[in-house]
Amino acid sequence: MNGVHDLGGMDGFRVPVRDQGFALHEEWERLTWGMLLATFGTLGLPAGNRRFIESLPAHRYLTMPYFARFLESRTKSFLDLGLVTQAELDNPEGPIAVPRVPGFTPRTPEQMVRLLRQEHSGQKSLVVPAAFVVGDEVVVKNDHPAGHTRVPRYVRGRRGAIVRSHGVHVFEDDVAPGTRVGPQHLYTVAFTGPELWGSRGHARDRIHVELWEIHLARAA
Amino acid sequence: MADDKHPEHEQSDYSVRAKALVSVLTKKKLVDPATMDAVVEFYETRVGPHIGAKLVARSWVDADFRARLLADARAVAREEQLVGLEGTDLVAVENTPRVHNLVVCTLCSCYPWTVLGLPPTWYKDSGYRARAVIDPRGVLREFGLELGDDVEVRVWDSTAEIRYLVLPERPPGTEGLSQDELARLVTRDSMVGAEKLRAPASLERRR
Repeated sequence: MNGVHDLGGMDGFRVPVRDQGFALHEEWERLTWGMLLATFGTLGLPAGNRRFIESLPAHRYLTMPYFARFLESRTKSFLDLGLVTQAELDNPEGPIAVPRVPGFTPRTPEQMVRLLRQEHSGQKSLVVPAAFVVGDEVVVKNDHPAGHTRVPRYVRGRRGAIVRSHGVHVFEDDVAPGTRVGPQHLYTVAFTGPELWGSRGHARDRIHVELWEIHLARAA
Repeated sequence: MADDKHPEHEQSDYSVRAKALVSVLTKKKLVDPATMDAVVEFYETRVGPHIGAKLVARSWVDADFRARLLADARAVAREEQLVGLEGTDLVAVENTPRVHNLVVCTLCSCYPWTVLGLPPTWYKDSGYRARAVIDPRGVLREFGLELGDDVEVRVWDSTAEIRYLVLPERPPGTEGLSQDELARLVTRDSMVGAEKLRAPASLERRR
């Protein structure tokens, strides 16, 4: 979707000061982060938070604290799944319904650390012929889907060159209901500054974006 | 600690909401607070830039290791047991006097957790994400690094599961240092491409 999260190339923002602090400053940020990963992959929760975060109203996305996006996303998932109620959240000291997940045991600290140290790869060991090889010139298809996509607006319709080939990876975009797009070859595509930004682009700059095969067409 | 963008009242609202959710989930035995603590402890102490710094320092003293890292960082990470969430599909890119690499995630905040830990606030900032791809030289200038027109800037926008580690240039005057001493010179931001490394002041004086 053409959301405000797709920030590449936008004017009107200031470059931040490089802070040296750690990511988790506040206690609520620690709670949010701990809860997010402790429950990750359990209870039928959605695997990611991007779809929720990308559909936040633009002004909220830009102004809310970073970890608040994850807190809101995960809270909504728990509500949607009926695992908690708004009444319980409004009054956490009040009556709590009996847990509705029979036989569920929350992840232990040991299981958690094991999971954090496991391989989490987007790569799939599928043998699918690749349409492109390193060096090929490609054009990014110009499409503006309403759902989630990993194609930033700033490369749509632009010409680039394949500089790395990553094998077959899980496809992350939303697809139309009833259709299925399986794992796809993933490539790193290099674009020159002027190709993306015209006179504002520097001729010696190369901007690289990872794109899946379905996003690309061979350049004429 | 409130900052300019997020005043105290907003922080305290999120604090109430985070505590309420965690309290309810805990009472329902849907989450174990000890597991939440283990997550925070993991990201505060076990993974962080010290891991990437060791790889960088080794790449400075061991040409074979450097070549393998640049050819297939994913395989090296697996050998070194540096896999995990966000970083299993690792790619290493090298800075040279002619090439400077800068990593960004314009769509969210993807970052190589396995070798650098969680991303700093500036990396997640809208301003960095918006400008790193259209004006990387301007961003670097504001970060204090002026690059000549003869230097090629390579920006890497992390739109898939690939995570990038920048190998910064070895600072001059560090020839006599051990690998451990070299690792201590490597900063977090240099491995994102946001700065160049300098020799420590004590070494500069000696030169």
